[in-house]
Amino acid sequence: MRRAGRTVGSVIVALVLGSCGFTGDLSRFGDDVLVMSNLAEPGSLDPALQSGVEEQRITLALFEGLLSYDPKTLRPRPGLAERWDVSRDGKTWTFHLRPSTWSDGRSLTSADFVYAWRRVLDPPGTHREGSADYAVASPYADLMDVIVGARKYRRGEVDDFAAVGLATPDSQTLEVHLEQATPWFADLVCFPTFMPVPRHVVEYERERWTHAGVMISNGPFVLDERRPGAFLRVRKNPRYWDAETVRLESLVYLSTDRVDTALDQYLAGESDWVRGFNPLKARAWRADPELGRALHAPDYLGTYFLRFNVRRPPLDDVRVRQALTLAVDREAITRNLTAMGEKPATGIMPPCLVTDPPWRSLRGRGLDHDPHRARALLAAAGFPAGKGFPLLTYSFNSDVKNRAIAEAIQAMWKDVLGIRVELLNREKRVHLARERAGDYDISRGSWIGDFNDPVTFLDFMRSGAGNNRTGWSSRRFDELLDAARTESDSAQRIALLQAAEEILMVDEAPLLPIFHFTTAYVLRPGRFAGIFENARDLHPPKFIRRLP
Amino acid sequence: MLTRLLLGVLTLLAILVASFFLQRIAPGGPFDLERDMPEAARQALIREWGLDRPVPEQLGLYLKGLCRFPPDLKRSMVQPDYTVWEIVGPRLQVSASLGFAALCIALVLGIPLGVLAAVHDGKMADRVTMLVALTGVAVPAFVLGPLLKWIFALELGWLPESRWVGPANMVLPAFTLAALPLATAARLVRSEMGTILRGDVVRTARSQGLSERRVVFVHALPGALVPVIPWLGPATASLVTGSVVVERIFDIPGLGTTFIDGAFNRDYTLVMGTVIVYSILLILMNLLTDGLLVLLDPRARSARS
Repeated sequence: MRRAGRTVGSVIVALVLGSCGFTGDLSRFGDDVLVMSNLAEPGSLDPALQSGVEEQRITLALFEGLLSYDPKTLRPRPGLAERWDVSRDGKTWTFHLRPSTWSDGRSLTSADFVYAWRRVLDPPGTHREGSADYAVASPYADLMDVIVGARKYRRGEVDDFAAVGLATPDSQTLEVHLEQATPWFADLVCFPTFMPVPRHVVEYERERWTHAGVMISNGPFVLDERRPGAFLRVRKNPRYWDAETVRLESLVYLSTDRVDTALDQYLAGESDWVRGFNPLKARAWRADPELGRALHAPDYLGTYFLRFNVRRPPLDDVRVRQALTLAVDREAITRNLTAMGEKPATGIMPPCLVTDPPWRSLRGRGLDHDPHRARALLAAAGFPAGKGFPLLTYSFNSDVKNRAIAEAIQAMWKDVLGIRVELLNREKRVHLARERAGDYDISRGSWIGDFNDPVTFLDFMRSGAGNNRTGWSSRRFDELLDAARTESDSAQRIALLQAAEEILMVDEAPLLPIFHFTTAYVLRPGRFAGIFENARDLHPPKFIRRLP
Repeated sequence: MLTRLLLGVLTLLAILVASFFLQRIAPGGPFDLERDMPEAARQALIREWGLDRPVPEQLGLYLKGLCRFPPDLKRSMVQPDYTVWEIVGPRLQVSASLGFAALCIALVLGIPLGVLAAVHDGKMADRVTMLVALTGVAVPAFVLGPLLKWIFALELGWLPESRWVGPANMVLPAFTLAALPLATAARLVRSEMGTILRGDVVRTARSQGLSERRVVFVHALPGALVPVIPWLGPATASLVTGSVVVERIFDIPGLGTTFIDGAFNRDYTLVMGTVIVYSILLILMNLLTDGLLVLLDPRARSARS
């Protein structure tokens, strides 16, 4: 009788606990597991839909494109294409695929790439002849504009996909025709937007195709389990063509979105890698030898800046913009406020950008901190000692760091120029919507390079470009970028782009550069190999292994 | 009872309409990104989601979807891999079990504490208990949570620090969440019990020579519990709002975090789904406490009929 009672009791306990939705132990794959705090719930796992770094980290495990990133240098290396040729004019790229399969054993061919790329270019609702059945709106579709006809097709100006420069001479060959020589195309095809997707699953399962148990991919890992808001786990893909190189059995991405919670999880040994850091804790961590060794902050391919709305007086006057720029002591900001090794900025180009020949920084020849010149320029613009200068607003999206920087700059402008600005703190989506609508005076912004080429840091400021948002335009600037596009000599090309940067950041100053980013992360020392500091914070999981 | 049910449905409808419009008043939308998406893609998304139509028409379409069986909560706009229900369902399970555990703790500890304080009215035990209760009311979850975490997880290492792996993960967040309702329950019971202990019922019971324990637990306690019942409705509401904070602190994949993130991301469909679940929960809880009250207290019955 008592035994029966106990049984009933334990069944009830099991039922109650079973309905609590516990995630259970995540490391059921033995020791070769890496648990990472990814710091945000990933959006879609569909490569065509990706826009954030959180998803890209997962995509690098699940998929492989034509080429893939070298873990140390990030230079493109063979991926699904075992080799590739570029025609002499740089406009025709031929990729030779190695024999490989999807994780369900189906062979992967050049047609899979054509399907995936076409799907990126075809927004939903267009229903053109031969379009993907399950179409999506790809936020990075414009990266494909370098391909012949892609831009027109994407915008619905041409309906015939044959006009897009893709060809498959056979199942193992993909030929891509580019509008111009595009040296960074090799880098582009490593990006999620260019990754193949399994048509046989996508069209059949549609929105559900990225669910665990359904999803088929072609990378070193496959999706094992996913709990929105909690974690995502991938496990080794035995059918990956280079499965021998893959050493980790499994990777867990925790969706912890508060960085302080993630750091606590690290301290409690629940994760080994936190993809972010709270700069307020930098001093304490660096003071501790063990924690100090875990904290990394390499330079990152991005720049933090302010946009001036040049449609609004007095910001339509270049002297005012230059004066506001010269008045800001950017070194003081990186030294005292950001404090994670960020470099003060004079130009838009981050110092970790690798070019051949090397990029000549504007530091020392651009609008560096110079209070004297700032005052003189403001006086010349008709506002001696700031007299008569209207009250401008400085908007930023709510964030401790943004606020500290805004307050510092507000004080600098008051001290140096004698002008007042009002700080406007807005929620992120509101901030972005207002910025896009041109409804601001001065607005905080940033730009992260899409690929390793100076073009990515200049193109977005072309006249009328969607990300320009300042109302500024310059024919000379656009012409220099156009000239660089057709220039085949590398040194000449870099010279043209440098001239463009000078117009943007010195002569015209629609942007006020503050600093170049670093990416701080915390990685348990001595536990993993194959993770290298690099300029885009990309760490292909294929090469990571756990140390004994 | 039928009127109350009908009123509940009307309340739900009012909440739905209000939240639908309020969301659209807030500037910014789900497709405003740091790096602009191409205009063609943006327009396609706006068309696909019907955001180009007048808001009342959008609301009509949404409500029409809800009338289907099973109700169509649509996909999440920002996490399009999932339908809203696929996101909200498992999270509701987590939040509900956390809230239920906290409520149990609050009642199981709060009621005896209240009795203890009332019996020892004015003495040390009363003062200590009420100090604890007052602290529970005064210290907010965002202070108590990290404090408990620091002591029991990081310093002593007895309990897991965060996440929702197994039952041990439930302890700290449940106690953090229980602090406020525990304190309230104790105070409610203490004050009602105090009145009853000085009243006629107890005097009669004592005069019959019954033991003090019998007097307190059999004759006084049921009456002292009456104010606790109507309080269960608001208590549930406070558990719901409290869990938003507690889930953040302990990194629990519950409904509260979904609601906040959804609002910040302008994930219209996800926010609506969460609002629906929350509203139904609160309306049901209020109906339930009303029913319970009628069952327990004859006076409520006569007053209503």
